[in-house]
Amino acid sequence: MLPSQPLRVSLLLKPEQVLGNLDAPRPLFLSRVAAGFPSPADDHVDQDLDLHAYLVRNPPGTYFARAEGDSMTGKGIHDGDLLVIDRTIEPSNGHTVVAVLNGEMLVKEYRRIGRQLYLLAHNELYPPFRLSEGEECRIWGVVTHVIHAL
Amino acid sequence: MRLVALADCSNFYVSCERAFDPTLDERPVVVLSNNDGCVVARSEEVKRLGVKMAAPYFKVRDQLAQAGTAVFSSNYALYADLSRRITAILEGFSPEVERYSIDEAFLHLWADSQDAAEAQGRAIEARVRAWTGIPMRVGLGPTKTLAKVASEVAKQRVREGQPPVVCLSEEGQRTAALRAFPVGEVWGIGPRWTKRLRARGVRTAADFAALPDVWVKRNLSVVALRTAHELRGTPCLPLDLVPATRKTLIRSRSFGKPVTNVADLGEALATHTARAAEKLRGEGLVAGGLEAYVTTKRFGAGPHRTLAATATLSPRTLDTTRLLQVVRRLLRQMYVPAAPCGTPYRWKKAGVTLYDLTREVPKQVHLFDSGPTPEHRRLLDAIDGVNQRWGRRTVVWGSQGTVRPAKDTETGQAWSMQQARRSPSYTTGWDGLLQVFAR
Repeated sequence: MLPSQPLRVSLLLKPEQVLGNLDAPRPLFLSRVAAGFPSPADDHVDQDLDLHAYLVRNPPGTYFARAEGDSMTGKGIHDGDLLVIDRTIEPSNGHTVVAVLNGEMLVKEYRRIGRQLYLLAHNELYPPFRLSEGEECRIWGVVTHVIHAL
Repeated sequence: MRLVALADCSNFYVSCERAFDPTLDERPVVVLSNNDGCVVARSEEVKRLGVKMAAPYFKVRDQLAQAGTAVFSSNYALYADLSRRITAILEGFSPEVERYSIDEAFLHLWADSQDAAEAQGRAIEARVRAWTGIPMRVGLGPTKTLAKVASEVAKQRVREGQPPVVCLSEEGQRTAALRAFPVGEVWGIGPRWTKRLRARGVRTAADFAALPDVWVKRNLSVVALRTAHELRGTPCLPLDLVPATRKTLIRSRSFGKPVTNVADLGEALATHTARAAEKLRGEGLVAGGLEAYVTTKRFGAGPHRTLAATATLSPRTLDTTRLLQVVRRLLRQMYVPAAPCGTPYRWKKAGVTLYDLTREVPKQVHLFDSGPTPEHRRLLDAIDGVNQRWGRRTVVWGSQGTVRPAKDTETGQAWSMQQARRSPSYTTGWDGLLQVFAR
């Protein structure tokens, strides 16, 4: 979508006046809209945001890994990206998973149709992988986040 | 009913290596001790080869290679990380968890029946395996000693392809298990007692539990009597939920290759001292004494010598600067470069022991207090913080030596440890992260 004319923003107030000190760590608002009763929890939100706690929901079962290759670029996973893998989640269709296949750890999209398991890539150059009869595949964990350096 | 469960990881170090490297699944695997000296963990395949625990590596090297064995130096950072994760998972099942060793923990569970207890054991085993990849056994019973017996029974059952969970809460099952269990393998019954028991015709755990209390107390000890009660199902050993305050803090290492130079010895002792002091502050303790020692150890060509010296620290201290002065003085006092015949000593190991440890009193007023000033204390805390955050040896004292270690290993100094086959720090270093492939 391309805007037909340049986007114009007019500010009556300086950003600092609206948002306070922009450099300070900002709490997220817990209740999204001002309709209805305010959440009593909002009284205690003024703490620093911990990115680790946000990414690692279940510390004993969460691991980091480095991705290598370009078969998942369509899902936003690029060569060298950091992956957050949660081993406490049961994989289901559409999940990005780390699968162990022939001793190799692969990032793929998980898709089960009936009793057939497919491992999909997100790059036209890589065909979907259909697990054949007797072939063993273990799902090591579910990828929950990608951290990509710009 | 209230039960004790023993959650016991199978071949823990080997399982940790396998958890991050699926190519090891079907291969024999061993893990070696510090300096790659002895075998300290074996996969089932290696046990079947007949390679014994603690076997010197050089003696079994060819045999292991022939079987295609993967050989690792110990990666304690990885094992400790997985151990912490497992403890956290166990704490999700029970508020009362005693971490007994790096790969074993006792926990209290409540269950209405033997079936319900076994179901809990299976749930624990399944969750630990799913979240960490580490296989474990769970032995359940009314007492710690019976939980330990159950875990040993489970070990046998796993070899026969059965599930790794055994509960000995029911009388009938318990008696059957104890009748088949050699008395010498009961937790707390050593070889000396086993001999004495055998002389009286006691062969199994059931025989032992049936002995009269008076006999056990008179011929063995009160400790043995407690074990007998535990085997009968009466709890005598409570869970140790709060780790006891340590009495000493020891940091020592064998050198990668023998050291003949007093400067290298000084660096090694300084490094051990700095580490011990950091640990001391981390645990909120102060030390009243310090011992330093160096040794040529008994094997290898002589001459042999062990040098040790101690210093009393008054007032007690947690200050690295002061401890380093003390250790330097001790080394200077005790150092002897060569045997009387003139052959230089080839030092193999150095270590530091901090003893007489007590809790740090927050604001101690001492008339002749030479402890760290508040400013100096802040410096020590800042250095600890930097080293915890950016890795050991980010900031060092000059006496620790100035050679930067190679990436991700601590090799570099002449005296540092040999760890030629260590796996990457999968969970504890950005450089060693697990690699997954998008292809």
